[in-house]
Amino acid sequence: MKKLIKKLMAAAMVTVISTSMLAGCSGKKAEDASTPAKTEEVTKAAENSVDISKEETLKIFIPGDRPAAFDKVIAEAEARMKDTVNVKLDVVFVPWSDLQTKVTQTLNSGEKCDIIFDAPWNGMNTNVSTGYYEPMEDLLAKYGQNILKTTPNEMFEANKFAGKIYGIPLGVLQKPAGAYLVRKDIREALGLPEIKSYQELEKMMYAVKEKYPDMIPFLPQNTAGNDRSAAMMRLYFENPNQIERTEAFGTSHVLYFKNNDGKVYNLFEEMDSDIWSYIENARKLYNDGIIYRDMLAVADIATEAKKGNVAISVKGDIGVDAATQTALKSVNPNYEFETVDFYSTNPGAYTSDFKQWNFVCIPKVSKNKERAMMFLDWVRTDQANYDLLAYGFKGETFNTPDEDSYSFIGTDYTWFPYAWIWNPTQDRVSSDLNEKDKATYQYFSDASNFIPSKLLGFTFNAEKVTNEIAQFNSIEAKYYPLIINGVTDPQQEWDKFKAEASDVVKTIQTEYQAQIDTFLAQ
Amino acid sequence: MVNFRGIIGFFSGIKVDIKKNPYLYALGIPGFLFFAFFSYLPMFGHVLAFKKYRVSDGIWGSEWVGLDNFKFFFSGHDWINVTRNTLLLNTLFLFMTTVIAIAIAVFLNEIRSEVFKKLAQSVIFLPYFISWMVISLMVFALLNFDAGIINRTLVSLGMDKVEWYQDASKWPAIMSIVYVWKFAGYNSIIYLAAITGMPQEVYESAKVDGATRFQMIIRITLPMLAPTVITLVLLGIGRIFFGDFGMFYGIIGDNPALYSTTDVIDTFAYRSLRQLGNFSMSSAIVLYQSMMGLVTIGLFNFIVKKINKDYSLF
Repeated sequence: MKKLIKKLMAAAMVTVISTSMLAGCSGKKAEDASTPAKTEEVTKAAENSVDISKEETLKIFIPGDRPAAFDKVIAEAEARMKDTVNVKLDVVFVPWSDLQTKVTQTLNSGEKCDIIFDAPWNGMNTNVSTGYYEPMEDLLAKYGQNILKTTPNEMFEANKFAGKIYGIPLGVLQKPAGAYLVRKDIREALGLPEIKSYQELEKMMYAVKEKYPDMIPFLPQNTAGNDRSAAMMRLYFENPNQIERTEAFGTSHVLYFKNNDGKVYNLFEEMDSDIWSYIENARKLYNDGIIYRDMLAVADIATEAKKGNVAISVKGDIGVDAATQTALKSVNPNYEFETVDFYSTNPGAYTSDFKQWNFVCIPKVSKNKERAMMFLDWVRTDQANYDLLAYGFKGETFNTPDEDSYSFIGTDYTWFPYAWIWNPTQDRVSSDLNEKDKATYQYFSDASNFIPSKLLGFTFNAEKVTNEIAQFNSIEAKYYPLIINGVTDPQQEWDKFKAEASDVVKTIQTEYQAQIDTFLAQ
Repeated sequence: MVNFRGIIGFFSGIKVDIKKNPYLYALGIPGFLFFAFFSYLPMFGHVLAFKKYRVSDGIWGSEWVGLDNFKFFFSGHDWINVTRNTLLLNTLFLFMTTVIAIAIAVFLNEIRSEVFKKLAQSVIFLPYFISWMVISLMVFALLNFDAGIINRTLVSLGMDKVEWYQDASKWPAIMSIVYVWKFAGYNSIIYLAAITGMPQEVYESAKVDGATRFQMIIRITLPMLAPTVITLVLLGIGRIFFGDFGMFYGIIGDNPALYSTTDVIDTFAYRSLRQLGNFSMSSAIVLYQSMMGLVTIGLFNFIVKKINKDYSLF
């Protein structure tokens, strides 16, 4: 027996040693990531000037993929800024699927970071209330004059968190817009005219099912964005009661506003008849084999659509971007995407709280807050600076067919100003948009088209109900995405969902309403 | 009364042993350091479970909130479900992998052709090196509704398609098969090493007494393999409250239709952290996991000790 134990000990030793060797490999990566900030705070902020004699490196986290020409663009930007800001830019592109995890981890761990993208749908409210971000009023006043000039004051006012500016709103549109992403070539092959109503869209889904049995007729957004699910997507267009989701739970409509009356409603107590009919319609589509059976097993619906075997899918903005179109055409040059929406373009058709949904923030841990702000301001001092970071090199990666538009040449650069610099003054419209999309884009860019929400300027402070929100999120994940995509029997599943979640939702609703009442009383 | 003499005796015993086997101990230093830094040191992080953690305040400076962080986990219904899933699936994995790995090891040992034996070993070992993400694509290719290999086969046999990704009841079996496929080969190598090391005299004398090969397997190989099996199983039980995150998140992803049988503590904690970015709440869940793991291994070690002292871990 002793011999055996010795043998086992030896085996254990081998395991230990081999694990430590493996750890050696992976340990190195961790070390690189956590190398302590070399740069030290040298900025002697004397009144309004910063000592820029020493070069600093700004670490920037934004979502998306690094375009091929990005390094060249950054080198050019650094050269242009040499005498005014004197910074190097270390830009990290975070994959969309990891965004929320990466942002929270970066903030949680206190990793070196000077500029970071965040958004209410990405947990920004919690990050603000946890105290991760620097309030920007002073920095903007001292170093951000051009930012204040290029972003209208109303936009800052509407996008404060607890009365303070914690992020520069990135946006041009006054309300989130969405659209169905449709394969134009298939629609035409089916002999269908341009789609102008949801009924016509549904007709196409069924026609695809019949004529193209190998294609996926309809692939709505799965768990990553519940507001673009099969049922809820329809609220973007057909929303007579002006239903808007609250800020309590990401993209869920369980707590919602209605008719701009400053009240928080609760789907468990008052199921909206439109929403329920949309849910029942989704169930029908699922049962009829229109909605992709395995939609919940799809990792990323945009990637799936670009492969060319999805007839109709959804997206969260207006028009087809060049990169998506190019990706599809690389599968087969005859394939083509178009977007379909059913927006009314009459002024006053929709309300808006003028909240933007993308922000760029400066974390508290940054040692280069002044320089970070100076860099963001530098972008906005000159259209040429903005164009460089937004579109690359003129004549090489993009062209300007006319004064206000742009079109990309090739695929070396992609469109992502919404991740760090987007603003209404410097924005250009893509010349790839068709006339209809352009009209929608312009309609959504003009604030005067929207009825201001009663809750303009209000932000929900989630701190008191963190536990309840955590509970709700874990319950919601089990039921909600199934119900709103028609994957399960809606009534049965809704009852289960309600039984489990209605108590916590009620608590959150009460807290939410109390905060609104206080806000409205002021 | 503390037994000082006993403690002193223990340490002087180690000292003598180090002097006797200096090289063996030297070999262990990297591993020792690894566990010290990556397993023992981070244990202080468990204190986060009782605090409202903010980076700006640091680990020690953050506000103490007692058991507040445990509330969200234990006040819902999910903790029972995820704990049950974690336990059940891991038990299933452990049992099936062990049984099949032993069988593979015994069969490999009986193969007389060296070339075929080496080849078979390598092929069985191969799945261990395939990452979960790749395996998840393979599983999807097999099981998807419209174009999956299995559904197509069913259709060609005149049967109805199965909605694999919507039916939670089938997944404990699917996950077990995948797990066994990936790990049984790897584990069998360990058992095979133990079998190869067994004294040949015992087999020779059994042969002289007229034992068949089957009898030798049942009466000699398996009983002599028992200590190795028990050690490996005990080590497995120590991690029975830890779901293989890469596996579950890779294969299941965010598919609510399958949560009821496949949501384990790790994926649950990950989803909560991702949605809330709350380190303290996640730490609370991990602490619960670790505590339960400690209790189980203590319990099983106690049971093993009762049966046969030599087989226990500590």
